[in-house]
Amino acid sequence: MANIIEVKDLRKSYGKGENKVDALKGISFNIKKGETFGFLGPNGAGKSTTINILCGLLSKDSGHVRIFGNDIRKDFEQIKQRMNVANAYTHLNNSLTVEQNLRVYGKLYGVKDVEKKIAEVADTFSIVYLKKKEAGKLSSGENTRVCLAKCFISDPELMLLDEPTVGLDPDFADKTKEYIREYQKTNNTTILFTSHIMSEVEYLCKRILFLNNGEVLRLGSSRQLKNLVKTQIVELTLGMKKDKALALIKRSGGRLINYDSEKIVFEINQLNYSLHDIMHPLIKAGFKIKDMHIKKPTLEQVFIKISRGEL
Amino acid sequence: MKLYRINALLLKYYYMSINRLDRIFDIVFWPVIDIFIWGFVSFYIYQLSSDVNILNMIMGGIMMWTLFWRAQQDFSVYILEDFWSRNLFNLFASPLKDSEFIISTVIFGFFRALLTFIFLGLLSYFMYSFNILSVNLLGIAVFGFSLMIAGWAMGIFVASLIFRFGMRVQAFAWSAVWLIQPFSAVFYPVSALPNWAQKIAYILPTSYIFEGMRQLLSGGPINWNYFFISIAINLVALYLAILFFKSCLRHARKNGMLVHPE
Repeated sequence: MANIIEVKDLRKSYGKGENKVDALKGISFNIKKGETFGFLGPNGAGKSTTINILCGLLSKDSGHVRIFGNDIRKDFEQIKQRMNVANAYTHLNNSLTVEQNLRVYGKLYGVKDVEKKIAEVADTFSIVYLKKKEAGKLSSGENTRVCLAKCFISDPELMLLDEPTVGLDPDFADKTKEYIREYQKTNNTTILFTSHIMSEVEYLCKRILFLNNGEVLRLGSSRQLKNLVKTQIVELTLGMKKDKALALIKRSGGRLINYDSEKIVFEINQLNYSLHDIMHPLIKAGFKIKDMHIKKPTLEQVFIKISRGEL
Repeated sequence: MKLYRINALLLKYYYMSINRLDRIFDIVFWPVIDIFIWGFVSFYIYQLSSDVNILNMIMGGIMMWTLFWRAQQDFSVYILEDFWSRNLFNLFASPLKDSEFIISTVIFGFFRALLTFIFLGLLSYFMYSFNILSVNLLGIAVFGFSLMIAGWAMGIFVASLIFRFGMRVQAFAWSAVWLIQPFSAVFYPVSALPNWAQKIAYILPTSYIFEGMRQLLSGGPINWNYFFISIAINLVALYLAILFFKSCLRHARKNGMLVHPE
């Protein structure tokens, strides 16, 4: 399958001398046609810098970036014609109404039947009632929806969605997530997606790249990433004598996370211990187990552990 | 270069103009204030001296100066609007080329300047019986054209500064033209300036244009010499302004000004 985005040893720094900040320290990755590719990382990891370079708003210091097989330094016009970007932190022109903005951007991207497309995206992102409202008077959630509408108006082959659901209420964020997935499947669109909402990334993205301090830390599917976590969280409900049980769990290799009169939550490092190592002494000591839940690692845990350098 | 993208930006500027009262005010408000103040002053002087030239010189000067002023300011202020809106991100992430950006802004500025010029022409005719059409029309057209190029060059230069240094230099958008007005001999001949100021005047295209205009307003022929000197300086200035604009945009892309306009 052809690569739509090819990034090799991409570097970018800001400032000079003591104030120099290396935003990207030579990252490399490829995104295949029709793939939804996730970008994760803490604030300042380099996600937005990468996206801004990909859409021509920021120049790179060094490295190679090819989109649709074209060099971004030479063929930006052709590249940008086939891609679009949504970033909830940006705005359209404040003094234009939403409809006027969409018309201008539709025409900028050479959309054939602009009015039809405006009606279509306005309906999709529930902004019909906002069409006559000035963009400068939108709430943050409304602005996010309008930015998404602007992105979808040109039916791009490649979309760069940088935190596209920021400011949306949970219901609309969920609908947007569903829409993106359906749209991607129907049109075989390539998407680069960033979000701090792990469930969105997990739901939409085939592969996820973890960035931190301008470096690629991990790349893989969400299952592969979750498998990196070698700890297991166990939630245990016992009937009696909790103090002794706490001591036994500790002695058997469990790391206590939380406990109250009902439950004990602990973590097992699977590299050194198994669930059996902990449960066996408890049962042997006569504890009755009323209930037990084993929590699978989540992408959020992976995110936190990678960000803290624990993975 | 694609015509539909230039059309898209022209549409954007049109919407910006009709949606905002201050943008419509721009076309008429300050020029009308000028026409009123300077018109009354020159009319008063005319009554004292019966020198019809005074009125013509000042009216013609105001109308032509407005052409230059509008051409410069529209270019800079429309760019600032995108800075204020934080719309640069979406605009520059689109397929829009830098050249299309410049051309569309110049075209729209041209029409706004023309509109202001026509409006002032009508106003000065009805208020002071000054008929700009009675002056050599070809002369008005050629010097007006040269003046517009000077305005665009200055507008592009100021816009470049905004891309380079951000909104902290936005005051230039309104004040830049006034820096050169005293040396442009808009209402008086270059010879009226002190020697040191004359040296500055001779490197400005505007001084040749207004000198040429004054000859026309006095009923003289077109001073082609002045016209060609002004055009030559203007073309060099426009070329340098475009180079500077490209360099400042490169800098803006390097330091992230298009992403985080400040």
